[in-house]
Formats: sequence, C-alpha cells, structure tokens
Amino acid sequence: MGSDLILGIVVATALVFDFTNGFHDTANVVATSVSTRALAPRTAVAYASVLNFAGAFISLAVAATIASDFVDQDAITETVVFAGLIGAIVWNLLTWYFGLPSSSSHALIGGVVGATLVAAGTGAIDGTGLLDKLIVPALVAPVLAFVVAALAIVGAYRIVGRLRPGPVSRGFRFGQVASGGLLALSHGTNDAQKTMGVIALALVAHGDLAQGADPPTWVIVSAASAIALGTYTGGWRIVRTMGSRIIKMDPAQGFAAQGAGAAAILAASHFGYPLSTTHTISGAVMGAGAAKRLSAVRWGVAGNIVMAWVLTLPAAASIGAAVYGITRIFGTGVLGPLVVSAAILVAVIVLLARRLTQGRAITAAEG
Amino acid sequence: MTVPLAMAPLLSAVLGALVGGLIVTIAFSFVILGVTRFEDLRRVGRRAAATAYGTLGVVGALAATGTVVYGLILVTSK
Repeated sequence: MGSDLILGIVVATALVFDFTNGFHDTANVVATSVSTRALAPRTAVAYASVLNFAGAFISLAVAATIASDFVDQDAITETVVFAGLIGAIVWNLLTWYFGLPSSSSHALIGGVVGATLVAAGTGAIDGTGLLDKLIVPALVAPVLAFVVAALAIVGAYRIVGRLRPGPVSRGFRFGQVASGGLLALSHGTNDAQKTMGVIALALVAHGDLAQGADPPTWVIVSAASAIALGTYTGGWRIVRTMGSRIIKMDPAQGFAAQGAGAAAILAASHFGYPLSTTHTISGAVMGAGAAKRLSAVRWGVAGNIVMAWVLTLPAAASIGAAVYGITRIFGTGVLGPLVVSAAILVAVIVLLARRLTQGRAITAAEG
Repeated sequence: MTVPLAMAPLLSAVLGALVGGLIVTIAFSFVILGVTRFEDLRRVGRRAAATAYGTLGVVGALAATGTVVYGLILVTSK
C-alpha cells in the first residue's frame, strides 16, 4: 500500500515535470513561425500542442535510453526516482527564480543520477552511457543545428536571391507551416519520452514492468497529454508577450532554422539521444541568423547554453542526492516523499508569491 | 580510420540531420524558384522555359516531401 502510494506520487510528480517542460518550451517551438507571421499566435500554439502530442507516440528510443542506459535498474527504487525528479524540479525552480540558464532535460537526468549515486554508489552509474548518450550529444546537437541552419540559409539565398522578395517571403511563410509542425512533432518525440523513461524506471522498481520493456500505453498517453497540455497552457502567456521577446528573422531564415532544428532532434530521437531541445533550437536560430549577419545573433544566448551545460548536471545531481538523503531520514516508507512533496509545494507557493509581489516578469527556464 | 562503436550511431545521427536538414531547405528553395519563374515566364508566353521551371518546382517539392516522409518512417520504424 505504502509502495503504491509512493509510485502514485512519483507518477504525479513526473507528469507535473512534463507539463512544465511543455509550458517552458512553447516559446521555442512557436516563436519562429509567429515572428515571421507564418502563423497567428493562437493557431501556432494549438498546432504545436497537437503535434507535440502526436510526436510522443512516434518513437520510444529516448524513453528506453533514460530507463536503461544511465543507471542500473536493479539499484533503482521508487524513492530514488522521486528524489531525482525533485532534484530536477528544485533546480528548475531555483534557476527560474534567479534568472540563471538551465536545461530541464539535463536536470532530470542529473537528478536521477545524483539520487542513484547516494542510494547505490558509483557502481550503479553507467559512466559510459552518460558520456556517449548524454554529454557528447549535448555538446554536438546545438553546434550541428547551427551549422545545418547556416549552410541551409546560405544555399537558399543563393537559389532565390535574384527573385522578387514578395513571392519568396510568401513561399517560405507557407513552408513554415510544415517546418514549424515538424519542429513541434520532433519536440514531442524527444521531450515527452524523457518523462516516459522516468515513469518506466519507477514501474520497474515497483515490479510492474520488466527491465528493458517498453512503457505501457497509459504512460505514453499520459506523458503525451501532459506535455501537450503544458504547451497549450504556456502558449497563452507567450501570445501576450510575443511581440517583445522573439528574434526578428525573415521567413527563409525561419524555415531553415526550423528545418535544421527538427532534423537534429528527429535524428537524435531515432538513435535514443535525450537532447536539450531548447539548446538545439537556439543553435539553429543562431545559425540562420549568423549566416546573414553575425551581429544579428544574440551571442549571449550561446554563453547561457555553455553555462547551462556546465552547471545543470552537477547541480541537479547534488540536489537529487540531498533530497534522497532527506527522504531516507523518514525511513523507506511513504512518509519521506510526502514530507518532501509538502515542503516543495510550500516553497513553490512562497517563491511565486515573492515573485508576484516584486512585480518581476516570469521568465521560462530552458528545456 | 576506425570509429569507436559507441560513436557510430552519433555519426549517423549527425550525417542524417545534416543531409536531411539541408535537402529540405534547398529543395524547398527550388520549389519557390520554380513556381515563381513558372508564373513569370508563362505570363510572357515563354512556355518551354516555364515548363522547365515548373518541372524544377515539382521535383523540388517531391524531394522535400520525400525527405521528410523518409525521415519520419525511419524514426517510427525503430
């Protein structure tokens, strides 16, 4: 009974994390289409939400990586997964509050690895898996998206450069309906699966799922629904603030950036690499901008990505480890997760209240 | 040069993203070139040239769509 309750808390926490992931990432997925006026903001948000949902059903390779390639499944308990999730959520909240760059995806994996390290020692961590499937792809993906977008826009300008600008803009705007949809679909294939993988880990620990088995359908549907709902909900805030936040680009740049971002994320999803989709999309947008004019790029964003790379994994791992330690003070039962959940809930309410009373703008953490 | 086994999928992913991302944008650019020139040339009565550009546009559309569909089939089939 106690174990069932812990599993319930873990699944609910994972879905809340998935919802916030979608909420944060709406801007990344729809900003390019909206900034070039390829789609109206509300249409873009609804469209991205539907395709995020659909994308979650396309592949399970990333979920399998999260569930089996970073930590030893035999060493995992529901409390370890819970501590890892809390580690990721706390790190995202702290970075959001202090305006530091972050990556929800790296925070999630870092949290689980940190909690596993304390619970079962270094032998339960697959260092090779972390290096090959997380750290190296995390470094490669934004650079790859940058290069693909830059080469693509240079090629596109050479082909359409002598045409009248009107038909070219209309053509690429029309094309952005498809490339924006592809980007939203690719986002669903990578980000929703991270939550599926974490829930699968908890189900294995609970004895409800065999090691190496695909997540059950209810996990896929609930993770897809949570990220789609988050995308849709986050979109309403984006619709209101869109005018002042996004980078201005022409429709050809938007098309090249979305195509490059989608290609990088889909290729990574196919091979089971859990990427930071925000970093990848940012790399593509910067590549499309840099090819036209170096000064058009917000190079500070690149600095933020590097800072997020350096900080997020160790910080989330440390918090995940600390949360596991705190949870174990209350024993192996349900009391620990309940106390920690209540404390986190109170902390969130206090942070939100302080933020609102200070009147500062809410900025999304990167995902 | 031998590639470490673990790096082989990463290289495939890099190559797939590079080729796929480039083909889609370049092919779609040819669609815009083909359609725009087709309309301009047809208006002035140069049917042969218009047909050639129209064909270029159709081939570009097929290449762009085919690349996306092939990519999605690859991702879903694993």
